[in-house]
Amino acid sequence: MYVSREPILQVKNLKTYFYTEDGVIKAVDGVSFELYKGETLGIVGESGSGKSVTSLTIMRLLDEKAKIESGEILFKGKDLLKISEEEMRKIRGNDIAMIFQEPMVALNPVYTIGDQIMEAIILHQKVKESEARKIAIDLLRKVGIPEPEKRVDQYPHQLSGGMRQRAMIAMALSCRPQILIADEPTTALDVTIQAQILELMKELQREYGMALIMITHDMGVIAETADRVAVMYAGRVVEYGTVDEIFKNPKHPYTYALLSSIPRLDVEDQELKSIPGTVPDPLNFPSGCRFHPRCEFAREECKNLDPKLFEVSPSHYTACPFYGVLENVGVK
Amino acid sequence: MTAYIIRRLLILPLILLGVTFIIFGMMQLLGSDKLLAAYVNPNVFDKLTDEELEALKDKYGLNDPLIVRYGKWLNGVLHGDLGWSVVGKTYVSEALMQRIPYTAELALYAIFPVIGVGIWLGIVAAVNHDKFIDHAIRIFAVIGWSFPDFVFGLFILMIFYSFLGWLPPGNFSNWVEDAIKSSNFHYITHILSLDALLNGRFDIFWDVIRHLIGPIITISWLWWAYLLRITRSSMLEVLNKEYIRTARAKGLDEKVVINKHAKRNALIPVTTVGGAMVINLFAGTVIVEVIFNRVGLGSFVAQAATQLDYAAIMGGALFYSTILVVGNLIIDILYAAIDPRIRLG
Amino acid sequence: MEKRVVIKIDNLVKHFPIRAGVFKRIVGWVKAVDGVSFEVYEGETLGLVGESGCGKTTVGMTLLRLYEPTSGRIIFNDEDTTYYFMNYLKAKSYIKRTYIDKFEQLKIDKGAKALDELGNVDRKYYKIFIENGASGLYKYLLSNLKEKRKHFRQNVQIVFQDPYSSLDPRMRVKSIVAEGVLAHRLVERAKVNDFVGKTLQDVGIIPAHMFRFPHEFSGGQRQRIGIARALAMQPKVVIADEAVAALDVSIRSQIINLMENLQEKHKLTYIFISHDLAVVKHISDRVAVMYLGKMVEMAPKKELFENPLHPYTVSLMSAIPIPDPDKKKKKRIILKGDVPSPINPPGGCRFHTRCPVAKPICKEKEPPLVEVKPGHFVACHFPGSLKWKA
Repeated sequence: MYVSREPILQVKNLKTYFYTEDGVIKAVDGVSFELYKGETLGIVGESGSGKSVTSLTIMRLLDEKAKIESGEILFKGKDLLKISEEEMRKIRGNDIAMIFQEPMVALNPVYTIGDQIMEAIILHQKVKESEARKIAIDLLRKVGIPEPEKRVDQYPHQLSGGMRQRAMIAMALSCRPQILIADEPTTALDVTIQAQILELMKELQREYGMALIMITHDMGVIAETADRVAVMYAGRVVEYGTVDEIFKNPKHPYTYALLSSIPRLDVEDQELKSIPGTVPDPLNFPSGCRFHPRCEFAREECKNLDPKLFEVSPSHYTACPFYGVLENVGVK
Repeated sequence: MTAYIIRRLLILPLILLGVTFIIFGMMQLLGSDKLLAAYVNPNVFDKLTDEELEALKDKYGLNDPLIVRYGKWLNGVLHGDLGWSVVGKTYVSEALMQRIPYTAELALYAIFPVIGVGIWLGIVAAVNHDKFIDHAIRIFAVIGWSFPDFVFGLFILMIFYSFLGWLPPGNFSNWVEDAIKSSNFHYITHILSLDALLNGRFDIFWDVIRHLIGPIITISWLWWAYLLRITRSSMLEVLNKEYIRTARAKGLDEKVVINKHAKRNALIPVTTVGGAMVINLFAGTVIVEVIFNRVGLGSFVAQAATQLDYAAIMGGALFYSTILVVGNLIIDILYAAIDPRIRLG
Repeated sequence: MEKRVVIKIDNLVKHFPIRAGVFKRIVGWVKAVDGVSFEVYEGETLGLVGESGCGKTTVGMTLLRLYEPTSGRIIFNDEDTTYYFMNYLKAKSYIKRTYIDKFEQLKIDKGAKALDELGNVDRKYYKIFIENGASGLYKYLLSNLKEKRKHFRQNVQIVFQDPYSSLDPRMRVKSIVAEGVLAHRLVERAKVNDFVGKTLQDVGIIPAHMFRFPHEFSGGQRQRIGIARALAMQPKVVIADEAVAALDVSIRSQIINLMENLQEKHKLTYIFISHDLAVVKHISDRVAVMYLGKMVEMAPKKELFENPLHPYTVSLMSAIPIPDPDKKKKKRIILKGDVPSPINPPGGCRFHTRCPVAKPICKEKEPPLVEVKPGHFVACHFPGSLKWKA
C-alpha cells in the first residue's frame, strides 16, 4: 500500500482536561502523533486511556465540561484549534469524518437511514435532494447493503447491527473525507460481522485513499489493520511505532504486559500474564510514569519521571527510559 | 395499527362498565338513608317519620338490591336516560350538555399555551444548560411548582380584575347572555367563541376570550412548571446521546442538530405527560371554575359529589372515563407517529 | 478414571412466544434453543461459544431455571431436576409424560431386563418403578421438593457479564456475598463476617472492604465480588455468562486466572459462556460451538482447535483478528450476510445460507450431531470440507 511521508494531520502536545465537581480529569495529557496520507494509525488503549477523548478533540466535539488546555492539531498545516466554529463545521463530515462504536445508538432512531446519509451530502456538496438520494443509494450499495433502494427508506431499528455499521460507514464516506476516525467500529459486533466490516473498511480506504485513525482496545484489530500504532495509557502515549515494532519488539512495559495478557487463538498452552492492580482513576493519576504502580520493572525513579518519549529508532518511540529491561525478560 | 385501535375501542365499554359499577357500588355502601337525602329537601328531612322515609325509599327504589339498581341505571343509560340531577335541577344528560362545551372550550384554548410554552421553555433551558437563562427558567419552574393554583388564581383575579379591570370572572358578560339567547344567534358547534365567529359576532367572541384568559394563565402556570422540567431533563438526556454527536460530526449547524435531531427524540417521553395533562384539562378544572366563577363540568360534578347526587356523579364518571380511554388512545397513536420503533399492535 | 457427569442437558428446547393482533394471539416462536444436548463432567470447564442469537445465554438461563424449558431434560447429579420449579400439577404431568408412560410400556414389553438398556437416571427411576409402582416413583420424585430446589439453587451458581448492573447498588458487599449463604443457612449468623472475609480474600478483595458499596470498586473488582457471591454458596457448578466480556484487557486476564485458580482450589465445574473464541480456548477443557439455537460442533479443546470440522467453527476461527501483524496477510474466510432470525430459521442445516461449502442437500436435510471421533461431535453433512489455518 502506498503510504506517503507527508503528514495530513499533526497532533502536538495536546491536553484536554475535564473540569468536574470531583476535580480535574486530565483525560488527554500531552499527546502527540502524526497521521500520514493514506495510512492507518491505530490508537490502542483501555478505558480511561484518553483514546476516545483524543478523537473527539480532533473533531472538536467535546462537551462544555471539557477544556482544551494546550496543543495544536494541524490539518494540512491549519490549526483546527484556532479556526472558528463555522470553519470547523465545514471540515467536519466533509474533510474529517467519524464513525462510532455502537451503530445502534449512533444513528438517530426517528429518521430513516437515507435521510441521515443525505443530510451530510446536501450540506457539504450542495446538491438537490433527488440527487443526494441517488448518491445515498449508491453508497449503500457500495458498503454492501443488499436492496439499497429499499433500505434507504428504513429506520435504524429495522437493520441488523452489521448493516447499521455499514450504513454508518456510508454516511461517513458520503463526502469522500481525507481522514476517517473510527472509534471502536467493530467492538459491538459479532466476530464474523467484524471480519466483514474490517474487510470493507480496508477496501474503501484503498479506493478512497483516505487516512484512517483506528481507535480500539483490541490488539487483534490493531495488528490486522494498522500501519503504525500509538499505545495510550492514562492520558498519555506510552509507545509509538510501526505495527511490527510494537508487536514484535515492544519497548514499553505496558505494551509488553498487554500483549502477554491476551488469550490467543494461535498459541498453544499459553500462560496468561496478569497486569496487577486496576486501571488508574482518572481523577487521581499516579505521579511520574503513570504505569509505575502496576509495572513489574518499576524502580524508584519511575515515580518522578518526566512525560516524554525516547527514541528507540527513527520510527519507534517509548515513554520508558528503562526499556532495556525488556530485553532481559526474553523480549527481543 | 387498525387492529390496535379496534382492540382499544372494544375495551372502552368494559372499562366504562367497570368504573361505573365500582362508583355505583361505593355510593350504595353509604346506605339508603344517606342516599335519600339527595331526594328530599333537608328542611323537611328531619321532620319525616320512619314510615314516610321507608315509603320514599321504596318510591325511589332505594331498597332494591345493588345489582338491580345498577341494572336499572344501566338500562336507562343505554336508552339515553342518565337520570335526574338534584343539583342541576334538570336531567343529567341536559346538565352535562350544558356544561361540557364550556369545559371543552377552556381546554381547547388552554392546550396550546400549556403544552407549547411548557415544551418550549424546557428546550430553551436544556439547550442553555447551566447558563443564566437555564437558571432563570428553573427558578420560574420552582415558583410555579410551589404555588397552589387557587392562590395563583386569586392573584390573577385581584390584579387583572380588581385593580386593572381587564379580565372579568364568569363565562361571559351579562349582555352576551341576552345576545346568545336571541333567536338570530345560531348554535352550530356549541363552543361559544366559535359560534360567535360563525355568527359574525366578533364582540361576543372577544368577550368570551377575555373571560378565558385568567383561567388559562392560572392553569398554565402550574403545568408549565411540570412540563418544562420533564422536557428539560428529556432534552438534556437526548443531547448526550451518541446520535447527536454523529449529527454534529457530519458538520450540521447546531440549530439543525437541536431542531431536527434532538427535539423529536426528546418529545417522545413528553408525549405521555403532555397527553395526561390534556386529559386533565378536560376533566379537572374545578378550582379554576370556582375561583373565576365559571360554569363548567368540574364544579358541577364536585357539587354533585358533596350532595350525593348520584345520577350526576355517575354521568360525570361516564364522561371522564370516556375521555380518559380515548385520550390515552390518541396519546398512543401520537407516540407511534413520533417514534418509528413503536408499532401498535 | 471414569469421568463423572455433573450436569446433563438432554434435548433442551426453549421457544419464546411472539404475540400480536387483537387478542394477543401467539403468532410465532423465537426458537432460541432448539434441541441441544451435552454433558458436563465434574471439575472440567465446558466452553459454550457462539455469536449473538445462537442461544448460548438462553441455555445457561434455562439450565438455571431462570427460564422454564419448553421441553427436554436437565439432569444434575444423576437426578432429573427439570420439574423442580414447575407447579405441582405440571410437575406431575411432566413425570407421567417422561417416565411413567414409558416405563409402563417397558414393563409390559421387557420387564426387569430393560434395566440394562437404560441410562443412569432412567435405570434408577425404573428400578423404583418396578419395586414400588407408579405411586412409589411419584413419591420419590415429588417429595421434599422444597429441599430439592434449595439444593439445586445452592449448587448451581452464575456469574453475570456486567459487573455494573449485576450487583445491587444499595447493598454492601457483605450483604451481597452473605445473602444467599444466610438464606440457605450454610453459615451461622455469628460467623458471617469471618466467612465473607475469607471468601473475599479468596477472590482478591481486601476483607475489610466488605462494608463498602459496589460503586466504590472498579469494574474488575466488582466482577471479583460477583464471583465471591457465587463462590460463597459452595456450589458444584458455576455458569459464567460472558463473565469477562465487559472488562478491560489488562483486567480480563486477572479474572481468567482467578477463575482458573478457584476452580482448582474448590473443585468447581464451569460452564463458560462466551462469544470470544480465544478466551474460551484458553479456559476450557471441552468446547461446544452453537449456531442459531443448535449445537454444531463439540470436542475436547485441543481436538477442536487443531481439527475443526464444521464450516461454521472454521469460519469463526478465521474471523478472529490475531494480535500478530505477520498473520494479517493470511486471507480470512469472510462469511456472507447476517445471522438469520431465530424466528424462522432456515430449513435443513441452519448454517447453509452462509456456508461457503454448502451443497443442495444442506438445504433439504438437517444434519444430526454425530460422534465422528471419540468425544468429537459435529452436525454437518460434509465435515472437514472447509479448511483454514492461522
